[in-house]
Amino acid sequence: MTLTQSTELSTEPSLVDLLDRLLGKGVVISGDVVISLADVDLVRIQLSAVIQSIRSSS
Amino acid sequence: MTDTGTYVYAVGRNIPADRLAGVEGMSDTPVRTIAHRDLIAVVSTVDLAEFGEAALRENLEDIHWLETTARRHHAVVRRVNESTTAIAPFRLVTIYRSDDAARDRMEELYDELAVVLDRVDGRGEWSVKVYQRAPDGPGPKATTSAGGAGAGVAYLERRRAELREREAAVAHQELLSDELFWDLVPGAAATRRLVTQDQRLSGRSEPMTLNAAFLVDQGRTTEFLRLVDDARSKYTSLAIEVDGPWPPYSFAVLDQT
Repeated sequence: MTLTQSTELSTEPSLVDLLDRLLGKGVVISGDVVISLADVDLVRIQLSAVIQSIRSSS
Repeated sequence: MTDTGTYVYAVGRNIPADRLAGVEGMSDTPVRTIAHRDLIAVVSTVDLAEFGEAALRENLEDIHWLETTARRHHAVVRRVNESTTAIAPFRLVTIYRSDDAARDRMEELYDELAVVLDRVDGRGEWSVKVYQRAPDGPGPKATTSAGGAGAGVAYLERRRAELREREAAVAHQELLSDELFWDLVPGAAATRRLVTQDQRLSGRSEPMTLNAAFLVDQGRTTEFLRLVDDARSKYTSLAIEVDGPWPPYSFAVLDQT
């Protein structure tokens, strides 16, 4: 068997895979995103609506 | 004059400015760098009418805005990653009031950033996702017994047994996935387990049993992929998806909340 043909990320990752990493703690159903704004302000934003749309668009 | 902020994509060391020429960030604004001690932040200016606190609340709930923003963030991080060996990607939409505020933050986080950059230097992130393979063909057919007095009871018992078996099978696959994870650990400098993606998000019919990230030395990539191949032969009931190298997103976490 030949060595794994790994996708060299030449193809665009899926949005879910991307958010898995960009949001820092994985995409969790109805989790929160922590946004660091200004100096130390932390705004918590509900991700549930986003997840809803991912679900309904797939 | 519009109110603007400084969007930070990543902080790294030894990022040659000319490698970022022509790279555009959010809203097609060119990226630039902010230097502080031996660190370089890759940033761009954003309009707070779109990236301010109130606007973000709304925009983050807009899937198209979120996707455009995430892809642009990733595109910039990828370019930075190609230009140097040590970068710490920042979380999506990390925005400071000004360049000075970003620089203050770099000073404040200096020690942590140094640790992170040492950790990821010369290494790439590999994603390994494992799915429970769908059994070949439909499962054993439930024999349809001829009707009669005991048929209803027999049916219920058969159903219960089937459910028990299915639950046991899932638990078994999870155990195997855990073993698989540990088989790959020797190939990596660090590992992280992410939350498995819900089937509704992954869009797969098979459940995901492992979602892991491995930080692998560039010089040991072949060795790591060989371990993955060994696992493919060993765990035939599991489907393994590997991709990378990603910028080290999962290993540049500065959690202070």
